[in-house]
Amino acid sequence: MNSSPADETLMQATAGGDLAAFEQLVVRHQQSVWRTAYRMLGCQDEAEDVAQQAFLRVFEARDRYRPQAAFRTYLYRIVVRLCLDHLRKNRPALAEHLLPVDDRTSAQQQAADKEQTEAVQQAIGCLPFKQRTAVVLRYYEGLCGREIAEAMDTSLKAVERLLARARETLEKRLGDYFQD
Amino acid sequence: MRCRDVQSKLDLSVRQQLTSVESVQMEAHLASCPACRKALAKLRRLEDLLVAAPVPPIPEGFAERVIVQVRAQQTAMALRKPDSRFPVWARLRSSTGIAAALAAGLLLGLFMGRDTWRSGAGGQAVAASQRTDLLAAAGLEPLIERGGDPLTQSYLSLTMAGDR
Repeated sequence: MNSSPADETLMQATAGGDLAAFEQLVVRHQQSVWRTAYRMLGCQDEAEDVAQQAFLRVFEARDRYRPQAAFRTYLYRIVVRLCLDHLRKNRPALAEHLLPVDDRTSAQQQAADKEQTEAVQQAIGCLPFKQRTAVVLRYYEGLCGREIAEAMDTSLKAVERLLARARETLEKRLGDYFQD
Repeated sequence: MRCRDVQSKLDLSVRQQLTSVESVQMEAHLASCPACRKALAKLRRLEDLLVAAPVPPIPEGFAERVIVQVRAQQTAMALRKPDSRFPVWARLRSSTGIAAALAAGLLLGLFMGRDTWRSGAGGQAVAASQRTDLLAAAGLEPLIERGGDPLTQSYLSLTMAGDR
């Protein structure tokens, strides 16, 4: 049985001045916020900055928060907006990544994996912002169409169109990896 | 199911979110349609490619840093916010501050004014003595009392310049 309080309850406690409740929210969602920011921006420093800002925004808005939508989609919406603001101010910089190295695989395999990872990241990075957001939320965060629509403040149909166009572009850009 | 219906539901199929009826219908269609099978295979391949791209681990101490920032923000806000428990006292405190600032400004003004007045008075005395000397030299002592008249002063300057 899961006895941990719901996000919405923690948010209400935060609004009542309970900082420990907010801390629980941060610990619970830090991974997904970080992942989303990193996938959207492709840079660790920028992703950390945006992820921190996202939680600060949530804290600042604690009195105004109304649990109409799930806290998770509310949080994604904040992250996506901050990423967009960030990209508008600073041009997308997806060139350098610190990729984790797996010692168990051979050097040749590592090089191939690295190359594939870079190709995928570049392909995602080249997508228009809305398509990229839909892809990140769908493939990396596992959100369903309705949740993506809520997070992006758009309709389900629009999300389906964005994903279809994004897949088309990704398939073209990653054509070499579709051979086998 | 037709190809168009199937292809619009392929993503749901990959995520295993079809109803059991839809699932059966889709399987039946895929068994007889190479184009839809190819589309499904491409979708699965794309998913594999995307998911295989790793994300670096979250920076160590991330949550702690967020909490530190939140605490700092709270402290800053508490310092800015007037004491809501004692609104009258808070208002009084703020008016005392304004009064103190005004008094300080007034004092500063007085000091500066005094200096200006002193230097102004000194300057006037020097000018008056110069004018007196000028009139005395010209033998016009009766005019000394009215020596401040600029017309007289100009006249005397011109006369003396001519004499020289």
